[in-house]
Amino acid sequence: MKFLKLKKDQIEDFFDSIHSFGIVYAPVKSDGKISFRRAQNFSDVSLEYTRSQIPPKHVILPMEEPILKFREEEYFEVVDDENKVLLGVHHCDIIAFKMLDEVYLQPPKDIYYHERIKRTLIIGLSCIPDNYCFCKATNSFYTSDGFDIFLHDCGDFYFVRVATPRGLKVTENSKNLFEKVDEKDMELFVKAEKERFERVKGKNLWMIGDLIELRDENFWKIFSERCLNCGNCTLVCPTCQCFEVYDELEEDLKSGNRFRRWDSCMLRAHGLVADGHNFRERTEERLRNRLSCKLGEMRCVGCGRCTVYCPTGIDILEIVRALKE
Amino acid sequence: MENEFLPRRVRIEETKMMTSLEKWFKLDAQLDFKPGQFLEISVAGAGEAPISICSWNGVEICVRKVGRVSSALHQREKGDFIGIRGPYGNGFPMKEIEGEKLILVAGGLGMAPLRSVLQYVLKNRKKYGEVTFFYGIKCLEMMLFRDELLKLMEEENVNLHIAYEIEDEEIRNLKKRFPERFHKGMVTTLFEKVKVNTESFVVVCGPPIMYKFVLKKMEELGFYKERIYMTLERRMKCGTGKCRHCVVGIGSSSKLICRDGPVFSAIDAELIRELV
Amino acid sequence: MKPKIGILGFTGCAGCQLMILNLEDELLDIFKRIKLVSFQMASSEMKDEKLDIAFVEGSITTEEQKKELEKIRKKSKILVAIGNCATLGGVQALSNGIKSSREMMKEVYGGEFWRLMDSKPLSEFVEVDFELFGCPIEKQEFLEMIRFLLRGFIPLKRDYPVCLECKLKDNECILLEKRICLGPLTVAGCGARCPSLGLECLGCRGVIEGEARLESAIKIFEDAGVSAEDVKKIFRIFSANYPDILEVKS
Repeated sequence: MKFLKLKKDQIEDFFDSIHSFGIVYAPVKSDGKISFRRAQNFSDVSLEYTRSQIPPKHVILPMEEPILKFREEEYFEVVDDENKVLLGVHHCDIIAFKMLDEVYLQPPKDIYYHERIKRTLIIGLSCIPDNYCFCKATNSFYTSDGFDIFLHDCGDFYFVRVATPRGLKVTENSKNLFEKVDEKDMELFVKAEKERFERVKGKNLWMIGDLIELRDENFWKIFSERCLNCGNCTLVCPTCQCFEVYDELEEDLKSGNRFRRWDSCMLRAHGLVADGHNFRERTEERLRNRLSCKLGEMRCVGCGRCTVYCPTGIDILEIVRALKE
Repeated sequence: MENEFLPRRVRIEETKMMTSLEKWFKLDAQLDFKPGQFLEISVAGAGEAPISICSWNGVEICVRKVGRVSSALHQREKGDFIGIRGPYGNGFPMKEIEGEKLILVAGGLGMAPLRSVLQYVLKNRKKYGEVTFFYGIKCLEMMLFRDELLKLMEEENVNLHIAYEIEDEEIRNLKKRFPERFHKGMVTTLFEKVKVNTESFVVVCGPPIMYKFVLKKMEELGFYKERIYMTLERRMKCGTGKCRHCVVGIGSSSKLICRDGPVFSAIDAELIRELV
Repeated sequence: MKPKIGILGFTGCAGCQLMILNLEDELLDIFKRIKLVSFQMASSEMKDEKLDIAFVEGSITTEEQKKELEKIRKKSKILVAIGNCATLGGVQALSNGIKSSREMMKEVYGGEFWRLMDSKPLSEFVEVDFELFGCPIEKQEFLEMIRFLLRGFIPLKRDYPVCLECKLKDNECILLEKRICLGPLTVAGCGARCPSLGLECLGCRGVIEGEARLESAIKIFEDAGVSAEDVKKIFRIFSANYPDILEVKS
């Protein structure tokens, strides 16, 4: 790791410089909501934010993308070779990428994910936690890898961590913007991180996987009673990996595209098989499967999105509390 | 880099309607596979579906017309092309069970993957002990690979028994032709009618509901759990452990059918909740 | 031989036929591949030929229409109901089960000048092969469907809620603003058209059968301060023929 310092009045120049690496995606605020979008000008970017509704996952794993083109029965791959910069990613969302890596880069590799992630420069950013965050419990409060550069907000400067050769090259290309760190900068960095640490609620997820398995149907019924099977909790989740695959035809009826699209285990088709049998017919079964996937298999980064964006207020921490009671 | 999603284009060498719902296809493909593995079959424009290989001599599939992809497949004839990916999944442990007695239990379309096991065993007949095949069908019309199986009844290689639900004239004739081979009832009734060795290895495939009954029956009879294998079905979209449509179980014991299965043992069924 | 297509209409505003006409560029391409036998809106000529695919708009409100529909069914290989009227009975079903058309007509016009039945979807009278939801139908979905049908494939049947499309547009949830949105109960395919404009989903594409969580929804809407009766009134706009909702106890 290399440590540097970037004064806040230099951040705009730094922003301008990273465009030479690739298309920049950053947190952009519109109608009071944060989304990771293409950002041309620094004035569009909001670096002070708590969470985006849709995680930055979509930059690497688009919500909907053509994966193949076909003509008759011949298939051709469609691969995105754009270089990208993903700026302003919080610890939890970086750790979520690491979890997705484990799935998508496990042999056989998913080339669509792989091609994108390897061409994407990830610039992390320290966060502003709120009461919905529980990243301490999921061990995703702080990350030491999964990024090229990390910016820690320390008041009037960013304490910068550089983790990869690629990241180093980017900082060296704009050498004049960065300064060396001294003892005082280090102290301020530690202080800022401590303050951030204090802001996150502590939670213990000890034996939660077994408790999810042990609780019976009636337990899950209580929490799924308010569930509308809308799927929002999974669509805003940074670690959800499920996708659906389908074909669309073009005008000539012979060629077309094979698409994949984010899917949700809270929807009916997820557990359906050809003869009409559904392995997760009831909402309580789907809720338990979701909790099992997230907390049982520990693929949760404690970002709080599933609770914040649930239209009916189903609170993952409330379920955790009840599981342990 | 190899793209796992890119189907290979293969020609259909031969087709045959097996029943009013099931069509059989022989594909012009060279594949290294194990009985119990499956392919992702594509019809461009209709999509992709997981279908198990039903053969050992060459690559064959038997497809029931139930949805978009299977209906589109049914329109395909000899000389047409389709896309294939795979094989995927673990397959049956044919090597590990060499030298043992075998009982194959198929229900309905579950005949397809078990035919692959059957052909494998017949090809390597000397490597296995006594082989019993139980096949449950609704009626004779729904019996897959009928000619083949009836031919097998005349031979000594395999001890084949059929359980049927609906009796008709043809079944009555077959009962005369093959005494003690056709029994009315569910596939589990065959365990009562036919003497079986409870030390045999058992390979099961059928509709989801069948597993519970078969496992229960075998537990009653005292079969060894670790000797019972079954192959499960889910809506595998990728075949490679990415899309997660085929997840089973809870928490850290959960498994993906496409990657960790589709073949599981009765021991797995005990450890992985809701496997069957 | 080009497939013979008919586009026909019963009781409704003809807006769905208009959507098809509005396809312009794509329409010419489709017309190259088919033989259009009847298109009520584009031509007044009604032919009595056999059809490969009949797209039928509008609900059934008279005995004559019912007979006409049965005729269409007989002469068509594939019958597709298009739009809310044909699939669910339309807005004109609003009074079903509340007042007879005789009473309604008396109140509004002062006498029963013609005989009307309760407005019902096509599936009430004949077998319908596919349904294309919406008020009006979505152009893209129509194109997608006709391409699949012409290719001989079963069209996609969506059984997931509008919410999926809404979230994938990164829209903020209307329910979180304590407004009544039928998105979670409603069949997707519109690309969350209304919520994307900040408007509540009124469920014009119908309830996802066997999947929509009606009781939970009514409870949640009540928590948001809207009585079950008022929620049912909203449901009635497009789903008056869907008894499951109206019978949910509150």
